[in-house]
Amino acid sequence: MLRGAVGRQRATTSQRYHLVVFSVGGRRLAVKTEEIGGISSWDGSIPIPSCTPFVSAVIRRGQSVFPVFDLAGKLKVRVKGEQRLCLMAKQPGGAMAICIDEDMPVLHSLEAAKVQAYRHNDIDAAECFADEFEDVPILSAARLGADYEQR
Amino acid sequence: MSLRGQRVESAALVPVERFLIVEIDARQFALPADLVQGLLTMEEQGSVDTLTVQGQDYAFFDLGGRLGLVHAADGPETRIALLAQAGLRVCVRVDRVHGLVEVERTRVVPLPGQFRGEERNWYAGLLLHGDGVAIGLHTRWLLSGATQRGGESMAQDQRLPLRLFDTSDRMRKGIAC
Repeated sequence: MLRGAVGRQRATTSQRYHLVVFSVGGRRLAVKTEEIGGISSWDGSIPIPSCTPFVSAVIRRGQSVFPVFDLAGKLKVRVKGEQRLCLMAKQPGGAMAICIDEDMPVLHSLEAAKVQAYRHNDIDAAECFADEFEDVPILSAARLGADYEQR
Repeated sequence: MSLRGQRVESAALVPVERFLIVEIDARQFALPADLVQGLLTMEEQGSVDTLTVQGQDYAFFDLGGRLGLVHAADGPETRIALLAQAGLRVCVRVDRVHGLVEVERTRVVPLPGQFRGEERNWYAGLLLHGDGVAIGLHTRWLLSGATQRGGESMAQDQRLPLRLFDTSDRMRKGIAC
């Protein structure tokens, strides 16, 4: 039946994860494509003295200023490469920039059944997927840096 | 008056703000110009804790230290900025003065909400300056280190006029108000 077929198709579509897989300091990470505002070259950042953990710089793009989340610092690694990239993570309060390795990010689509709970506490990730090499955490872009409340 | 004329008039009345751009530890900061009473060289500074200029005491506010920054060694570019408003007076040491700028208010953007810490009390916003950003400092925070003496409060209209004085030839040429 047509209605049933459409329903099954919707269910099938919604059960896929569309991810961008990138790396920071050689550590592979993923973010859902809908949580990414863009990827461009990294042109350096402007340091801002700050008490907010891992948020102590901004980048300027024309007449706009975006905060930078130090994901490498959070992971205790150093971003790799001379031609680093800037990943813009969508957040409710506005986009946030992340400096990532120069390795070109890869689009990745996988079935929801392959997504598992992420059991480590090193990063704000609730889920991960396993490929032939390792478990790749799926970051929640909206949650990056959100665990800090002013004391 | 024609609509076109009104548009031209409104365009000419874009609100502007004036800032003194200073540098500490390679970061640029914007001091509200209406706070700045003057600039001194290190030779003129004298006492470290409190500076007396024209009979007025300015308490030392360790801006660099409060921000966790490291000052450059004293040199020919080092200046002490005298700041005052409503009877509150502080002086801050800066590594370098870049100059006085007048910018449209639209070029002062708020600190992004992802900055959630104490810095929200420090910064009034970010000033789009040249190709970069100067950090706009909150007047209230800057003057928080001041001690107000009894009966010395000044009304808004009694505020001291902006005087950027500096005895070095280079600075006298560089800053005109």
